[in-house]
Amino acid sequence: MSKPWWQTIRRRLARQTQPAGAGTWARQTRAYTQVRVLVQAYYAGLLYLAFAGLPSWAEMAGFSETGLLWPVAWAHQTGMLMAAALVTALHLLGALAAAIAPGRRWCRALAALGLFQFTALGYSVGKIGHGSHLWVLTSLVLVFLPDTGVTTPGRRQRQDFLNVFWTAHALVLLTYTMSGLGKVAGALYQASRGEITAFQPQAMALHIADRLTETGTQSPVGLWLVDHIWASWPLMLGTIYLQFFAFWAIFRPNLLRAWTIGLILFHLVTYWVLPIRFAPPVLLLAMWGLASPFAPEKISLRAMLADLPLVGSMFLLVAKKP
Amino acid sequence: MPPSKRPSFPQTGPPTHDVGWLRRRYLRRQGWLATVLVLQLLGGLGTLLVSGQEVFPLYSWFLFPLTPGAWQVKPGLLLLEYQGHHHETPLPLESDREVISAAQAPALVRLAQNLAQGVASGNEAAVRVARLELEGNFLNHGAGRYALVEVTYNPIERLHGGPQQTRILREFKIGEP
Repeated sequence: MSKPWWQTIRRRLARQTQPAGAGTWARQTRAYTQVRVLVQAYYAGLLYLAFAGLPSWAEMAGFSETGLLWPVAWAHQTGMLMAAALVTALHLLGALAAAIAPGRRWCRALAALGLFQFTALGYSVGKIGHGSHLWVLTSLVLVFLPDTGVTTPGRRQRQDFLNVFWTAHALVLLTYTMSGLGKVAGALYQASRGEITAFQPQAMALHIADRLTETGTQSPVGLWLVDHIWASWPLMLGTIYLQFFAFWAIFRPNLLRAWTIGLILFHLVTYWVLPIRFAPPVLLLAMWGLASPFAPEKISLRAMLADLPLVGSMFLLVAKKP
Repeated sequence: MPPSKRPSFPQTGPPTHDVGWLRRRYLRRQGWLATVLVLQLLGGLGTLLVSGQEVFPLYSWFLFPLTPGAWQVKPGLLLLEYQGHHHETPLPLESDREVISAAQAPALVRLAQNLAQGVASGNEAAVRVARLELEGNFLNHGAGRYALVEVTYNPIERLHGGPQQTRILREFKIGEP
C-alpha cells in the first residue's frame, strides 16, 4: 500500500528510511507525558499574557471604529467601550479556564476564541501587528488535542496527542521559513532588476537606516551596525539561513534546540537593532523548542553538523574521508 | 459500586479491536493536521494577492522582503499645527513622541501609505477612510493641520542627519473634509 503524501514528505525531510525501531513505545510514553506538561505550561503562559495585556483594554476602548478587522466587525454594534470590555473579559476567562483544565476541549476552544478576538481588536488600528500571531495560530491548533480524562490512553491516542502538538510546533517554525522564503524571493526579484539584494553587504545597513528613519526611532546598536557593514552582513546572511530552514529543524531533532536558540537570539538582536519587540513568540519558542520531547537528550556536534541544511551533506563527505 | 469514570477518548464507532477502522481514523486525523500546515503555507502566500496583503490571522510572513535602495521615495506626514501650537518647522508626525509613541509609529507609517495611495489614485473614499483612522486614533485631542508629503532620501545619509527632499502632496485640517 502506498504511503499517504504527508508521510512521504516527512520521511524525505527527516531522512528516515527505516521504520522506528525498538524502544519506540517507551519513548512515546515519555514524550506524551512531557507534552502534556508543555501544554499545561502553554496555557499558563497564555494566562500570563492575558493578564499582562489587561491594561491595553483602555487603549482599545478609545479606538475609532474605522478599520476594524473582520473578526471584530460586530464592535460596530456594541461600540468600542463595550467591545473592549467584552473581548478582554473573554480573553482572560478563556485563558484562565484553559490554565485550570487544559485537558478539556471546551476550555481550550474558549481560550483560542478569546485570544483571537482580543488580538483582532488590538490589531485594528492602522497596521496589523504580528507579535501575537503565533499564539493565535497555535491556540487554534491545540483545540484539536484529544480530550485527556482519567483513564490511560492507548498508543494511538497518545500518538494523536503528540501529532497535534507536533503540528502546532511545526506551524510556528513554518512561519519563520515563510519569512525566509520572502527574503530569498525578494532578493531574486531585485537581482533580476539589477537592484541591491538581501545577500549584498550593505543590505542590513540599508534596512536598519530605512526603518529607523521611517519610524523616527533610536537605536545605538542599529546605528553602529549601519556604520560597520562587516558586522551586519554576516548577521543578515545568518538570519536568512536561520529563517529559511526553520521548518527543516522540526524534522531534524538534532537541530531543534540549536535552531530555537538561534531564533530567540534573532528576536533579541531585532529588538536591539530596529527596535521591534516580538516577546510572545520568544516565550513560545523557549517553552516548546528548548524543552521539546522530540529533541534527543544528548546531541553530538557531529550529528548536528551532519543535519545542517545545505552544508550537512558536505560535512558528511569531509568527515568520511580517511 | 465505584462511580463510573468518563472515558478519556470517546468510544464511538466499531469496537476498538477493529484495527483497520482505528488505523483509518488515525490516518484521517494525521491527514487533517498535515493539511493545516499546507493551508498555512498556501493561505499565507495567497494573501499576497489581496489588498493590504493580509487577512488576519493569515499572513505571508514576508517581513522586510525587499532591500531598500540607495534612494527612497516614500510618503510621510508632517504636523503643521496641533492643539493651538504652530510648528514653524513642520514636524514629522512619526517622530513626535508627544503625539505618537514608538510602538504606534509603524501603524502611522502604514496609514501614511494608505493615504498616499488614495491621493495618488484619486480615490476620495480611500482618503476618507485613512483620514478617519489617522485622526480618530492619533490626532483626536485637538484641532490642527497636517500635510501628506513625499520624501526623497538616502536612508543612511538621512539617519546621520543628511539632506532629504520633501514635497507636499496635500494638506488636511483635522476633522474637516
